[in-house]
Amino acid sequence: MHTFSEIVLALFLIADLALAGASRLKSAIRFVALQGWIVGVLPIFLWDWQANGCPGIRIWGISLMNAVVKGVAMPLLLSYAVRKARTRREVEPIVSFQMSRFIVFLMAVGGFATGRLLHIHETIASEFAIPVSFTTMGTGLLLISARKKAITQVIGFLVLENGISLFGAGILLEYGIVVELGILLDVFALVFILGIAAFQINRTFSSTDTDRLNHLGDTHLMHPHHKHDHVHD
Amino acid sequence: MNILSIILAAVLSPFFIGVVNQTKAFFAGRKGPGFFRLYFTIGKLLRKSRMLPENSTWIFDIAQSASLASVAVAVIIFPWTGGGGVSSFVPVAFFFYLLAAGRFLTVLGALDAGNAFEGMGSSREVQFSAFAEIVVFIVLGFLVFLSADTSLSGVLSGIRVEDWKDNVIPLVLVFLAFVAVFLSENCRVPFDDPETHLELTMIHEAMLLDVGGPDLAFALYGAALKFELLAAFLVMMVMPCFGSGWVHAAALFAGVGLISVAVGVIESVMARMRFLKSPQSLMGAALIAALAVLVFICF
Amino acid sequence: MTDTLRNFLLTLTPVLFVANLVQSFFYLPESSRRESGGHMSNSLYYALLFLFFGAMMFALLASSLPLMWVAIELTTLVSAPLITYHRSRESLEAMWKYLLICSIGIAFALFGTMLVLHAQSTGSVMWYKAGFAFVLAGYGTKMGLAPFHTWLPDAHSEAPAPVSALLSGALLNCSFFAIVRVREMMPFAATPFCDAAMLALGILSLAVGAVFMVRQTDYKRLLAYSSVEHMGLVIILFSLALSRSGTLVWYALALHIAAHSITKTLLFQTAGNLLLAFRTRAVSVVQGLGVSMKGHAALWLIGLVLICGMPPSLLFFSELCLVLVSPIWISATVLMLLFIVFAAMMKVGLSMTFGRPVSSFEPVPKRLLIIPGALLILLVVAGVFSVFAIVA
Repeated sequence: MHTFSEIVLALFLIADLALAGASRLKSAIRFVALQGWIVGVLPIFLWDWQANGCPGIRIWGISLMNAVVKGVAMPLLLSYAVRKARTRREVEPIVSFQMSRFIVFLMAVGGFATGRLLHIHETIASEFAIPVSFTTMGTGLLLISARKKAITQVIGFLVLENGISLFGAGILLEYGIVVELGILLDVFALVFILGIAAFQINRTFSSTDTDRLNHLGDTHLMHPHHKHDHVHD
Repeated sequence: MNILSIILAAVLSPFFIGVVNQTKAFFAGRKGPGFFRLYFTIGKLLRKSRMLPENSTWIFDIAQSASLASVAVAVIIFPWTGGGGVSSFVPVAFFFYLLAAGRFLTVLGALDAGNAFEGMGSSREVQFSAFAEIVVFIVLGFLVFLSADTSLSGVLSGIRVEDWKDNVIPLVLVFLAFVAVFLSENCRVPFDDPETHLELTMIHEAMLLDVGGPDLAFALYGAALKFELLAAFLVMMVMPCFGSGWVHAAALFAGVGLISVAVGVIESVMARMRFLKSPQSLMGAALIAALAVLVFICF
Repeated sequence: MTDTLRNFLLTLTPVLFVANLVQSFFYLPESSRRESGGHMSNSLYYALLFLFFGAMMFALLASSLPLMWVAIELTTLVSAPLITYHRSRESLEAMWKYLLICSIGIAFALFGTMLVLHAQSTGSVMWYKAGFAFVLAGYGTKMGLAPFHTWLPDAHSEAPAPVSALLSGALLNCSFFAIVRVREMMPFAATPFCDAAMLALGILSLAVGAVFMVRQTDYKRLLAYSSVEHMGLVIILFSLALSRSGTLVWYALALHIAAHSITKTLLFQTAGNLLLAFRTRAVSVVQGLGVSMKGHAALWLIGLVLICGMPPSLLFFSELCLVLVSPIWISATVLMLLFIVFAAMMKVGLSMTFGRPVSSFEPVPKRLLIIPGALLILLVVAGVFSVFAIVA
């Protein structure tokens, strides 16, 4: 099973590169879904089948939940938000796609170098999981900071979250089912609210570009009538 | 035995193109032109007389045959039976230089004809292959690292079953990067669409506008050989070595057949990507290959 | 000490919640009568407010670190819609920043929690340190510590007054408690690093708060930056309390948290009333309260004096303790920055109270003064009592 987990992690890494270079929201969402699936099924691949036999219902249940929520429900939610917001279907980059890819590559270099420095072999199920999760977290931050649309930032957040979950899976952390469900629910609700907010931003500012969100700040002096610039439904 | 396998490779190559086309036809619900269409086409073209453009020179005259010759040499040195023969002392880079030489001659021929359209095609062809070459050499670097050998057969038979256990991530990454090279070098979807004859978007075909008769037969056959060669390279990259002999050759040809089917499937389900995205994708493939080297070095 | 702090916060949070709940009953009808734009339905508002309170109590009571993470994230989720009670562009923007920045911060906190949990099984000090750094950055974002505070002024100034008060008074404490929980698990070898990191962030927060308060033109943002400043003081006090023996600094810490929360609630509620009356948050427009709205003028000025730590204030004692026990360079820096804060606060407070009225306004009903007034009396009585207690 070890080999499978590593093939899957290689796919995860490629999904990072693809996300950095994805120019359409639809394909970006697809790659996030792929990562979600991988995060979901990874505990089963990392399970030591020879030593421990078939994993219990807990592992199967959590894997299934993770895969369904991260791989199906959240991507569906995002595509729904994209459709509803009637936003342009392209990702609008601040840093070019080529450059983003290269940055992700550099992050991978950094991630693997750190992974090598950490000497983490003995306690960790797959030594690749840690560098890949570092790279993924970096990719998420890149997507959040170097893309204009509100919805892309949600995607970036999901990628960040995937990286963190991958890290948890890689070091075989077990919190117990309540906490895992709690985390999953939190993230799901967050994406849900962010999706709605992105939709509202689109309706209110007639654009989902976050560079329109520069109204608040310390240099800006309020005028009395400003407060009443309300949404016109 | 080596010679027999080379002859087999030479004979089979148009068949694999037929496999691709039949797969596409199957997915499109058509009857298809049959597996052996390319043999008939080549035969028909060979029976025609030569026609050369008025203002072309001797370069155009020899371009297609010389190009076919360099690809044919690559076929001869390829270790079809898993090793031995010339392939054990020819450097692996030489193999790719032969393919590049074939392309160079085609480009020269196209430029010699003096057709603006062909010039554009040549420029694109060279641009794409320049990007593809980056990937090729990173992949080769990785394989040389892995097998600690620089000869063609050494590199290709250097991948053992243990490597798939120890270095599975780099191998997967390298394989995927080389798939991109394979598709781009053979002008397949999503980099180029072999169906789009005489359209502004095409790359490879644009260079052959003035070529006809036996020359065109050579060009088509050369393309088929190149497809077969790169597919075989791809197969041997992932196939742990069976040792030498007929079993190996049989497995290799079966693998090439599988890849042909896969190419047909890809062409049925995907569209050609925008022209400007192709170099970007190749650069992405280069990054993936570099990542493989990185992973290999780090662990 | 952690359990004592938990019990203390478990007492404080309901008090703040009830104060703001009652204020909401008075504030919301008045606000929806005056605002022309749409607002969230009141039933949803109260539901979210109760959920918010529940999530904060959950965060304080959570038995394990991951569960606490779930609770803290939950507080973000339920408080974010509260910020957009008034549906304006600005509030939407503030909510977006709040959600996104806090969620990224909280994601890092999760990562840090994982590192710490893993460090517990391996015992590696480096992993402990890395874990604490991520947790500090993560929950520090939620707590409003300096480099990660950018969401705070926006969210606190755009939210309706009771929500601002609750965010500033109660939520920041809960995030602080999360940091305390993780700090408690650090092995001895990692403590110098952790305390130094907290000290650095604390001083930076203090400095950032002070700098942005000078020339501040928006009185709600002024209060928000004051929260950043006080959270800096809290984290400095905490790192000092850990490195000093004796319980004096711990008392100072608790006193500081309580006094800041109550004073800030009072101030945000008063600021909300001023916003209702003048319909603007610009300091330059809200002038001459001493003439027109005497009650509010008293609340506002005394509240600002108290939050600056002038002697009858409880904050005076905690800040005094901080200055006395810390090394000289920290004392000097803190005192200097507190002086800047005081100057900035007084400039705004005095001009708003004694300046010449420049704008017409619509008076607010007297019942809006009940809660802030009660809080003020509580604070002053407690302050005077402690002065006498210390003198005697």
